Amino acid sequence: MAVSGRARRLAKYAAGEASPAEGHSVEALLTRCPECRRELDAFRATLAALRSSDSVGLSPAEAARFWPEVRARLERGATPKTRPARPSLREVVGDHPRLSLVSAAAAIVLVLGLTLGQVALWGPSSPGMNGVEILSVEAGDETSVMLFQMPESNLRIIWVFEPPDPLL
Amino acid sequence: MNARRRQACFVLVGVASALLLLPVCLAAQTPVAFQVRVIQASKQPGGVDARLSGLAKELQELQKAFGYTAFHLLDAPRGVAPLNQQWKAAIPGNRSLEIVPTASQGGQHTLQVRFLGANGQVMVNSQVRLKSGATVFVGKVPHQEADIYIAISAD
Repeated sequence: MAVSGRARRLAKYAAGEASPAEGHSVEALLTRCPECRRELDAFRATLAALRSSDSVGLSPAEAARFWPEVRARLERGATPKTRPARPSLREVVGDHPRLSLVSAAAAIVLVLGLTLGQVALWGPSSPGMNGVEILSVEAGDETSVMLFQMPESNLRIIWVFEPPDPLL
Repeated sequence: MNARRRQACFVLVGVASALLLLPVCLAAQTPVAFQVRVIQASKQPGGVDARLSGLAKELQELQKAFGYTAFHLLDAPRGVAPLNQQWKAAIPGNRSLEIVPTASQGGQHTLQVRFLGANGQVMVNSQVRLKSGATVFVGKVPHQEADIYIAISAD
């Protein structure tokens, strides 16, 4: 916003910083310009308000490091960080919270499904009606083996036929 | 996005990973428990040993099939073995029984069962899959004018 020369002179006058020549010029202006008088009153009220408020001061140590810190921040801001072409996982999760939640939930459902699926594969149908499934049977050199199951029965026996004892 | 929601996302991903690995870890570590009952079946008076009440149905079927009149429990060793570890029990007549659990998942157990003769020779080498509580019989091995049955149950 541009400040006009008249406003600048009025502000200087209100603050008591105008030279005698400038003071006379402003006073002449005020006699013929009602708007300038209102403007001067506004400047004086503003100055009075500023002078009545608590002042904020810096300790010598704070003052010593104030400008270096400001300068450092400006320099940091002057060289913007280059954004990676591919966003990191943290950025993806951060930028798409709903998508992340849905993905995590889907992963849990998938894992549970796989786990329960494995259990179901071993379910009641596979090991037989009585929970017994004989996967393989091999007989020794001197024995015979037979799988025995009674009709209409769930009882399963691995039936071993031993060779007769030669001493008997 | 606030930090709490982001934290929740990471927790969910962590839980999913843990669930993925959990079955594998449990399957690798859980030992398999089983019970072996050595039963002498004969056609002499004697009735059914009260300790065999858990196998009443199976013994009734054996009685029907072979005409046994007496069932006596000779031994009932219990075993617990990790996967691929051998468990061994003596059977009357200098025989022995070896059981090796080879898989255990979802209440189903796969056991390698080896029945060995007096000289250590393998008489039967079998692989059975049992649901928890189910029983498979190995028998009918002659012993002192009776027959020996070995009931193997997964706990």
